[in-house]
Amino acid sequence: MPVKYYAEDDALIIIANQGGLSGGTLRDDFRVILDFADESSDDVTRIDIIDVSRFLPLSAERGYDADTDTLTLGDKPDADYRVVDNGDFVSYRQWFDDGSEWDVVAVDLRRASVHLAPVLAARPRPARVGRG
Amino acid sequence: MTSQGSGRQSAERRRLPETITADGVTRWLTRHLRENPRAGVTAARIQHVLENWVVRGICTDDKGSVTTTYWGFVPGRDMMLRVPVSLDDTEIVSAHFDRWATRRIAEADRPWFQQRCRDLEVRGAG
Repeated sequence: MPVKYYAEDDALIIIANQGGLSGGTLRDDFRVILDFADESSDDVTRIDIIDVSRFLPLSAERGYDADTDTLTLGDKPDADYRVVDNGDFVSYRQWFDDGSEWDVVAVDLRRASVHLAPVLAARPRPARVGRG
Repeated sequence: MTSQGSGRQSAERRRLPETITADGVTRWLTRHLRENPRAGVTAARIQHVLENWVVRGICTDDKGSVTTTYWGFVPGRDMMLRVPVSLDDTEIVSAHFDRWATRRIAEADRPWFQQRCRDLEVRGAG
């Protein structure tokens, strides 16, 4: 799965399938941009994360589950949601009566440490604390 | 050689230029947009949306992202293209088709846009 990190934009692009003809953003996070194969498909095929460093360092506070190596983008709902599982991209949708219908409120990014590896590699390492 | 060469040519064809001028305003494109545009996103279509937008506003999400965002239809597609521009009007941040905005505008659902965008302007969607 191609992954590309643009340090100057702090933008990470993860592509499962090329050629998405439909898309959108997370409902409450316009810097997470999703692609779908076409208007009738609910499978997420590409994710662009702008300002991706806001999710680092990976931690539970930032939506990362170390046990499953999954990073949650957005706010995962507690109830009344639909899940669309497309491999490393798992989207959570809730119904909204504002024309959005099943809008995407969160995405689980599986194998997060693998996908974010270029971002992690580009980050400055924390300075070692000297020992007295 | 030929398949590799044509693949490279294809990738180069999909690249967008460094700047796009619309209505006399020249804006830079972010590098990730230039080098990885989505299928169907071209410089001509971005320019078309910036000049023939249906909805424009200063849009803020719950995570603090603020851009001047343009939505418009492009010739040959029945889906709106969303083009966020930096607040200082110098950089095109992204460009992608937006199925939800298309539904909302098709249903004349302006409250959704009003909840998220100030200084909202709406032109006829027909």
